[in-house]
Amino acid sequence: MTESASQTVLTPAPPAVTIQGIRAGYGRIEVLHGVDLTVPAGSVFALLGPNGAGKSTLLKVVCGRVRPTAGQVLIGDKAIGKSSTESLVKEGLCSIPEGRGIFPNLTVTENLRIWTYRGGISAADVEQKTFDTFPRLNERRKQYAGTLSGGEQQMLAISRALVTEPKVLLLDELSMGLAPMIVSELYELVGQLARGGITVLLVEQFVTTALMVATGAAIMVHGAIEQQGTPEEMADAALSVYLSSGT
Amino acid sequence: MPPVDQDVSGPTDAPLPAAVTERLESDDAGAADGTPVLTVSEVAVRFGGVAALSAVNLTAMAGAVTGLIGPNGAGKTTLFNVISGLQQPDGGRVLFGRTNLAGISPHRRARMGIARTFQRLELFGTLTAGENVQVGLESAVKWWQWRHVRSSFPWRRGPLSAGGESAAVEDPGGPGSLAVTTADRLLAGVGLAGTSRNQASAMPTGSARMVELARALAIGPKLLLLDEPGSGLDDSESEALGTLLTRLAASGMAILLVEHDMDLVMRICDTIHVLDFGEVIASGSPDEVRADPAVQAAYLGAGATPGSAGGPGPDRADQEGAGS
Amino acid sequence: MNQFLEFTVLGIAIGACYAISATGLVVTYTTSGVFNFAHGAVGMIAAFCYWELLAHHVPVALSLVIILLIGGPVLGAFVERVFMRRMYGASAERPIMVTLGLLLILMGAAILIWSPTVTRTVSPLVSGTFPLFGVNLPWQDLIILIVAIVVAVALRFLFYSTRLGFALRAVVDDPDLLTMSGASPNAMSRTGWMMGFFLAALAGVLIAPTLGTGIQVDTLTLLVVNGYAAAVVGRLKNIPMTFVGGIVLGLLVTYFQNYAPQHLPQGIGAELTAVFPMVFLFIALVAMPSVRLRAVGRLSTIRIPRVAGGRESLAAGVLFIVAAIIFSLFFGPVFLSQGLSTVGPIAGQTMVYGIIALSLVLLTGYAGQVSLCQFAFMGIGAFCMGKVAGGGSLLGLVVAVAVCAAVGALIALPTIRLRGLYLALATFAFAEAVQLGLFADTRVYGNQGLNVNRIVLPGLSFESDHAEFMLVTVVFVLAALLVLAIRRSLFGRRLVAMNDSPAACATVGLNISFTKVAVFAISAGLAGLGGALWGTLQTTVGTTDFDIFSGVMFLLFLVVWSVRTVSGAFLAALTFAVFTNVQGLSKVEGLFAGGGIILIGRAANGILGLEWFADRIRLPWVKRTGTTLGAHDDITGPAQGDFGLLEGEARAAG
Repeated sequence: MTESASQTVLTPAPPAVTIQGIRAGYGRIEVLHGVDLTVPAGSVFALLGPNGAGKSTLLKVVCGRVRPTAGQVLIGDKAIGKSSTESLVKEGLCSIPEGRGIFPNLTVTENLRIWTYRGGISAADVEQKTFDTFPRLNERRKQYAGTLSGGEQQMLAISRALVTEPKVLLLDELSMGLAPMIVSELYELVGQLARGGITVLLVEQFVTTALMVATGAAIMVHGAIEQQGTPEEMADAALSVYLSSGT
Repeated sequence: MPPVDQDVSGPTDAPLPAAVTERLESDDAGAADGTPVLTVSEVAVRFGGVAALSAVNLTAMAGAVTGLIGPNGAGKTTLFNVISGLQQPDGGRVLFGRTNLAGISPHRRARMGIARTFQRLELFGTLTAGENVQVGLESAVKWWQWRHVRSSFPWRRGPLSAGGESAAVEDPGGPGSLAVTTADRLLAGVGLAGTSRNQASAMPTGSARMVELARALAIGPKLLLLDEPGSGLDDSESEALGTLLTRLAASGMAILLVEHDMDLVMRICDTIHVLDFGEVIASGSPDEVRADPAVQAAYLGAGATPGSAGGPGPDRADQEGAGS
Repeated sequence: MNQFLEFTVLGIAIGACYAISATGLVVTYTTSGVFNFAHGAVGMIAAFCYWELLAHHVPVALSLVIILLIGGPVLGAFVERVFMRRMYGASAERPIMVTLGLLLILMGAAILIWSPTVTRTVSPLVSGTFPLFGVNLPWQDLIILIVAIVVAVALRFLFYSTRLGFALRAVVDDPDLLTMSGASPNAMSRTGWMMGFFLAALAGVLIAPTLGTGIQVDTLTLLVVNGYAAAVVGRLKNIPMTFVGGIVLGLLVTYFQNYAPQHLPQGIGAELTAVFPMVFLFIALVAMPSVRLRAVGRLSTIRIPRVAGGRESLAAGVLFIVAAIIFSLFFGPVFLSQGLSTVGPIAGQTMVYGIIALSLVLLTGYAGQVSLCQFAFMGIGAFCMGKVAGGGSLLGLVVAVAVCAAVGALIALPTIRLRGLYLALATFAFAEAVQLGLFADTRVYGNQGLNVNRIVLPGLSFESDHAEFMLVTVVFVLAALLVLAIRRSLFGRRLVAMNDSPAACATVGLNISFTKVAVFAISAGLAGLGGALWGTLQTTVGTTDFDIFSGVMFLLFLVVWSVRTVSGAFLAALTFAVFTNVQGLSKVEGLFAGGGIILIGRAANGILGLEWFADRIRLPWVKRTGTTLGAHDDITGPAQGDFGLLEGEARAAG
């Protein structure tokens, strides 16, 4: 892991994710009205904004679950075009969707076995890496994932990113419904992953949380990027966007 | 893009149809003596190992618009499911006026006067907009009674005499009958005049939401639960909605509104409850809530700020809310 | 005591076959969400192919390998890829229709390939007996038992100890997440179908030797179908419970078959035994936990045909009758008289089948409830007509309607809190029970069939074929007017509302349980009326008139044309009558019905609803709704993968 980190630092790399002019929606309603965004390689980029802004939809476009009606997405220097999610996963994309990326009716160890479908990693390795990082999961390995607490479920979900070592990691509302302590623990891990060379694009409602680890941020409102900049700049702008001072 | 001949000019000032107002006047939800129309007391819901709601307390008064806001995953739709009867709580109770709703099935709660709309539209897509509302108007009719069967047959002509039936809910619909005209007037009241023959599933989102609202009003509710009625609406539609809700509240209805559109919420709500981690962390007027640091922290995330009022302490690490 | 042991072992063996069959069903259901009604037919085909191989002197072991390890799985993969893949995301009834179509195709093909007149027996894998506790038990039973145990253990191991098994359990929960983990949900579904077909074939091959008089397409299919009851006991997901259910069912059937006839009047024993699995299924259904009402947020965006208004339908009806009069005057001798053997009274039958079709329009078209037993009600209606007042009386008509409506209400009661699939299962079980248990009794239809006289009223006689034709035509028109009136009425609105969104119905104060039972009763009564008239039309009726698989065929004909319209009902009745009466066509009826339903695919409104058809041929009474639809609006349905997501939700989901 350290080798790839030094490689990323020394060689100038193309941006990990480039989004150009994306328009997308569901059925007849357009949700994204022309989004432009560049995510530098090795960064942790936070996509902020109120509910309904289109943040999750944008992530779905990047991982191939929603087809854009205009614009293009590049991962590295390759346009994803009409690639299926499966092929993107094979090329190093890992997406952890909103609401726990786990199978509630399988036990913890069974969930971990499913992560090995990605290839290139053995069941023993998966378990060792996961339990080293999250000892709590070890205690609950035979428990059905649906009965874990919210934080533990999210730990299990993010273990997929931990063990499959993707190039790009998409996180959708990782902190949803979790207490701050668990959230900081999780995001610390995200920071670690980023330092190891993984580019992270995350969506967060909670500005302060996201900015704990973010190296860049943007605020989305009504399907387009409203402001973009450093985490500090975005923190200042956020409050007025969220709790509007409107009449 | 709304179809050309659809009139979205906004709600009229005409008085609300009798179907809507008569139950409000009957006052068996105890509104007159100050009892809240809705009391939610210590309600808790757990899904597997995760607590979606953990001791929610709030009230909704007649004649007021009460807002329910909170970050995603705070449990708002779950709470609505508990109040309307689609979900059984694991603890606590819900009172409608002075009646405990425990064990009362969803359709009976509706007949008592609790109406709701859904976050994901639950329209009767195959029916027209007018028929959707009619189903609500007719829900109390016992169709097997002969007078109703008789009125369905083709030899019945023309509208019934205005002085005939006492209320719209008594009469099942055929063209020109009282129920149809009431449905039309309800649709006009929410700004959809002339659309009653449009198939519901073909209507754009904003209009569809209004149809669902009209259908909810058709049962003459005392308590109206609205789950994100503003989502999918543009600015003018949102404003029209706000005006309509204010008018409904003024005529005595209790409205509990879940919304993410802060403009709308701050504008029309008399009281706002903020839900986070499955419990109410703040209640008050819009200004009070907006200025409350706990609320701000809840929305922005308590993060690493030590001793922040919004976040629970370390010993609650296992009691986390889940997606609603 | 010895006998008891013998029966017990036999019962367990048969039960084990049911269990294996049911397990295959459960595996398919839990991995793809589709209940495979054709499961029984797969077992049947496997048994026939096995017989065929043995008849060509292929060694037993090799035959088994070919059928079980190659044929079954390959067919399963083929079916999944070609038929099922396009259905993921379609409405709840669509998979039921398609698997029913597959059932008919398999049965139709089997009848064509293996003529029913030849007797084919399959000998047990190992003949002879072995002694145990002083009783001689057949080796075959022991083998079946061992196979079942192996299957159970292997499945347990697969699902709980292998990665493939985990993925199979995960695929119905969250196929998207499975994709993102690197596995392919399509591959998982395919595996599930292959396993299901393997188990069906295994059950078929094991059950075949128990049919001492030789394997027949109908009976063998139904035998494997008995396993469905065991699947319900396992609530379609719990395999150990499914096994228990199968074994218990096998034991009960065997005990009943062997002990009860001594205490019952002659002949009833066999019939009650045939009814047993159905009773078992019903008990299992009643014990199932009810499904919670949930908001689904699914909006049907199909074009709905306009419902004709009162005056309009009356006018259309009168026109239709006039047309029928003209038709009968010119073509009467050819079509109406029964004397002509080739063509028969197609016209009269069309009208009567039309009444049955209308009952399905009401139940399945408007209310979305699938019923597979309308022909059974037809038979009951005919029976009532024939027996009451010596046949041919108005009272007979009334009794037919009343009895069928009452029975219909009883059938629907256990299933009102459950998903529509269970109503379909219950009706299938009922139809099977009625056919094997009631119609087969000689007292019901006798050996030469039951005589039903034409109606004779004072001053008005329908004895002549011409008068009878006019009678059934008028009744058909009245039934059509009734169905349309119902649709326009409050009750009709509730039916459609119930179909569109049960959760919303509860929210506006409707108790849909009563509505469900009521519509089933009305539909059954209407089918009973049709049956009574069928009796008067044909004047002699027998068991074969009301065969369960013909009933399924009929339903599919209707769905192919259009299950929501009167025109669809008429066309379905017409084509069905033609197919059944024309010699060459009746053999391929099943293939046509099955093929039609599969070609229709996801087009929810049948042929009459297809856009290119509706645009080119303007049937004056089938208009489209909504003058406000612009040319750019596409409302033919949500795109693949977007299913269930609405515009409003999309904005909210951000």
